Amino acid sequence: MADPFVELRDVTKAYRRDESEVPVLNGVDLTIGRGERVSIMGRSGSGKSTLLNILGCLDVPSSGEYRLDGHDVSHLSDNELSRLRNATFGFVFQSFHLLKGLTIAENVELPLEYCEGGASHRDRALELLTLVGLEHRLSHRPNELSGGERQRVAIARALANHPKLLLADEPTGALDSKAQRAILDLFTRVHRSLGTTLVIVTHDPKVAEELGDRVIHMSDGRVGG
Amino acid sequence: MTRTKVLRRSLVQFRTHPLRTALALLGMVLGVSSVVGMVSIGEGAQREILASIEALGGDVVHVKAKDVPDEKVGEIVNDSRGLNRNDLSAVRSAVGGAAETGYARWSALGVTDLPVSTYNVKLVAVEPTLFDIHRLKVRTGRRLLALDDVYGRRVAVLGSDVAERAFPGGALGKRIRIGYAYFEVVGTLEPKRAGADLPLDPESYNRAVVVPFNTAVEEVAPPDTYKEIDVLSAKVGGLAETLAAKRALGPVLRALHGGIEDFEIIAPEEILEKKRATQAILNVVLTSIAAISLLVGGIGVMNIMLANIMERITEIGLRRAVGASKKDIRDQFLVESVIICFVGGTIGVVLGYAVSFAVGWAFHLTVAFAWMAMVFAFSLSVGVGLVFGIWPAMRASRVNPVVALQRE
Repeated sequence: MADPFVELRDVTKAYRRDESEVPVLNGVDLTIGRGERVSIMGRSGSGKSTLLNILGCLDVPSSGEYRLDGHDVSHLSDNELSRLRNATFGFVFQSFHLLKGLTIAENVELPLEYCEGGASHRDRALELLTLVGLEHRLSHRPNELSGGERQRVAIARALANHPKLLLADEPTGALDSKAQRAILDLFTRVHRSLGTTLVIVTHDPKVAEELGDRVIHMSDGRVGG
Repeated sequence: MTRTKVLRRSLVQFRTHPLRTALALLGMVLGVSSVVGMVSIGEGAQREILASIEALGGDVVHVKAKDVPDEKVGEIVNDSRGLNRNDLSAVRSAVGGAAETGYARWSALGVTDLPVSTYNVKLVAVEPTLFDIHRLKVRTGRRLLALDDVYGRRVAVLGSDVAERAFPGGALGKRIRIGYAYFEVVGTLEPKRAGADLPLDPESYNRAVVVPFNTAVEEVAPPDTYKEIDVLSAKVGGLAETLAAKRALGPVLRALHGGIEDFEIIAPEEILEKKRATQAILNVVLTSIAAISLLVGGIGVMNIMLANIMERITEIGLRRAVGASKKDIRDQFLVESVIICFVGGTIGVVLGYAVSFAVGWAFHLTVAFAWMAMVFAFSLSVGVGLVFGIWPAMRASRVNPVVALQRE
């Protein structure tokens, strides 16, 4: 691959449960190019969410090497990982995870709160909410929105810090088909206009086909063909 | 991460959970208000003691005749003549030559035409200097003067109670009969405050008819066979010197009285020290109780912060995902508990004073508005917020974001 952005080399992950180690990833090799769209499919328990967490530096591999944009990130401190998440990644979750005490705009601004720099947060929030078509809902609360709208807010939040890598875990899993359509279109539009690298975990083959330049199948903690 | 951001984040949390915040607040309010209440009532009691001692002059040593039962007077009368005016010069020289002195005799009023019941009204025959030494303040008319005493004038000054009850329309110029003589009322006294349990209760001046000493001797009643005066007071340099004066006086008077302790020397400093010692014990007890309630308040805050972590675990996970460091999460939770405690402390201080002033009003206690107690309570509540907030905050910061984000 000409310009690899993400490189995983023989990455393993095992969790301690009581006295025994439960292996979840058994030596994953994966390279994702800059601007590439990758879908990860697999049954539940196949390790795809764990892989996504490791890609997003929410979790660290038990062994193996993770190079991000040419830098080894497998041995960074917790603080450095926090900063990296803030500056490099955008997360989209199946259940949105919007904070119900905050307005839509405040939710979108959340990643900006944790970075240095004084650009106007509200302007950026407005810009992003316009992108996802919710600029009129600025001061609403998440529970006043439909599921599809909430996921659009979550995508706006994920984009707040100009992420280089957008990570989505079952982004359409909790939505009806109409809302699902809108979210898929939004991802396509975001990728086309921003060129963000996209990794999506899903168990829906149609979603995987539509959003992935490449579809990766996982089983038993290994990447298959 | 700027401070205002952290602050705003915490306020959002309070907006989202008003009831829970209010309950945590309540614990702190009660804790701090009990601290403030205890301290201000305790401090008030201290000042009350001081004020009651000041009422008869804090810088005065009193010698009070001890009552000797009539049947025993015979046994001691050959050795001692009781407290009398001859003791005066000895007292003067013992406490320092220039000391101001005054004496008084307290006796039953006897026959009188005062239009009130007089069973607890006393006839107080004084040397007029006592007006200064005992700090008797004139409300209307004039005080007794040295010449009243020298010429045996038949004039009287009424205590506030007597004056108000006997002559509601004004006592000045009225003529009253005491024994077989008529006296002109030339003045009335300001009321004196109650003196807790001083051997000499300042309040008894409120129920007194005060007349010049010599007039009383000539016109009303001859002196006792045994003792001539009941109280002899000498002004010394200040409160701190009263105990020294007492120590100097004791041997002198004992020698004059043939070794018989038919007198009692009252030094305000000594009384004050005794009172303070009891009060100090009481204060320790009260403060411990208050500290326990503050502790309970703090535990309440900790409890609620811990419950917060469980409920907001996905929030923590999400914040971590978008870039919050452990320190950011810790600070957010810590600031929340400190704010709860600070606000609770503020309300508690106000409430504490309100309650203690209400209690003071209801039970006629002196309540002090102590600035120190306020500062103390404030810093204590912030301290409680830090101490009881740090553990939940550390726990929140250690939440694993992966696990947290799996929760729904």
